[in-house]
Amino acid sequence: MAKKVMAQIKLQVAAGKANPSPPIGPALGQHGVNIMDFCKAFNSRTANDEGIITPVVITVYQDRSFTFITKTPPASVLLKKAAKIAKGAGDPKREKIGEVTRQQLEEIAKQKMIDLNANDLDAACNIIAGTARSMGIEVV
Amino acid sequence: MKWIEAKVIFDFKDKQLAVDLISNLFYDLDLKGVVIETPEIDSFEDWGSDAIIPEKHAVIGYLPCDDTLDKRRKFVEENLSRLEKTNGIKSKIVYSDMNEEDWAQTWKTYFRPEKITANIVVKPTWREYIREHDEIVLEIDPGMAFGTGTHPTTRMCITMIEKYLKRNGAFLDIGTGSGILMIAAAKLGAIKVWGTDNDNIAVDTAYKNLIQNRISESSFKILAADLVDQIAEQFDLVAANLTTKTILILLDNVKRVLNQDGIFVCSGILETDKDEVLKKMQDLGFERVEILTKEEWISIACRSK
Repeated sequence: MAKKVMAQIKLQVAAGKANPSPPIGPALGQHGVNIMDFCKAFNSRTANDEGIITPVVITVYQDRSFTFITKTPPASVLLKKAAKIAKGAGDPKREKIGEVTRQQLEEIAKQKMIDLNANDLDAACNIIAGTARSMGIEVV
Repeated sequence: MKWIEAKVIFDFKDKQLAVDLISNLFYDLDLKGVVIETPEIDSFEDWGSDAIIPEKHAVIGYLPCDDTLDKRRKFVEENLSRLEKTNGIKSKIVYSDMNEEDWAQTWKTYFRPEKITANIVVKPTWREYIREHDEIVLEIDPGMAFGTGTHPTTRMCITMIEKYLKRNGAFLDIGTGSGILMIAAAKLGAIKVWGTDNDNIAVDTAYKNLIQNRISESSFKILAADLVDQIAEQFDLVAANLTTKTILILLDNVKRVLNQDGIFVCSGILETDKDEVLKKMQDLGFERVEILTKEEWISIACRSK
């Protein structure tokens, strides 16, 4: 009989650098998942993108075994990286915190396409542009 | 250490955008990650009747309880108000206290004694286990260090140590974590057992575990160091259960700490990286001895020539 799912844990954590500190420790510990086993597997699989915030979905089964899949980094993280800004806060209506070129926007859209609910690249670009606007990042 | 869980429950049509913007606030506070809660379930999975599913959409960040806490809370609260004003993302924030011990203890309830090779059993220190015949029992409290013995990479390492370690041999474990491989080597007859780790928590944990297993203090040594940087001696068997990337770096220096014909056992390598590691071993003049595979992982034993 197939194993039944007990929970799905969604995290965003730095690739290649998982450790038992929050958020991983409390998120996994409360479901009885072996924290260090997850960290080891995650760090191995994401070693090439070390440091980049990466979404991960962990499926926990009733016997506490688990599988996980990683997704493309959040648009906000990629936008900040492209615009070379460390922080993205501030009031975007008042304050422009940085800018990205149309080409950079397209590159992010292409990278994120697989995880976006978009039919084509134009639609994907619009989604990313919306995030940029909300963050105070201008597309030039 | 104490932490505050800051749970931002939100209501907004575009969930992804809301998650992006809220988590971004936590990243601006230098947090290294967040938890995302969503009540929608993945319909491709076979869910148990007792499955735990969140009730609302939320982003959770964990703030350390130090003198920056008030400032950080204020930052999050002010920016959530801003997100409501400028983007229409309605949210409320709920704080709760968290203790590091809480999650470490919950996980321990599910860690039980387990037979990992024909003759070796790993037993958590807080569990009872009755030894059968001539079984070797490794007692472990991994704490917050790597190495519970249940991971395929650790099992394969122990299998290879069991096979290639000579009685009265000298053993070195690089990145020892909980010290599990050192304990295995000592109980399998090594008379000199050394380990290194670049994490001080691991060095302390490993020390406690070796003492717990009644390994004589005169026979082991644990160094807080990167890979083999501080090692000037040679060993008959060197083990490294790390990641592909670190093993590729280590390969350049590992011969220096191996005796002539000494064996290097490396694990934590994904099967997809096998060719890259084998090629480097060949280029450096190692002789391939054995490759084990379990799930997505491989372990390689090679000989220094």
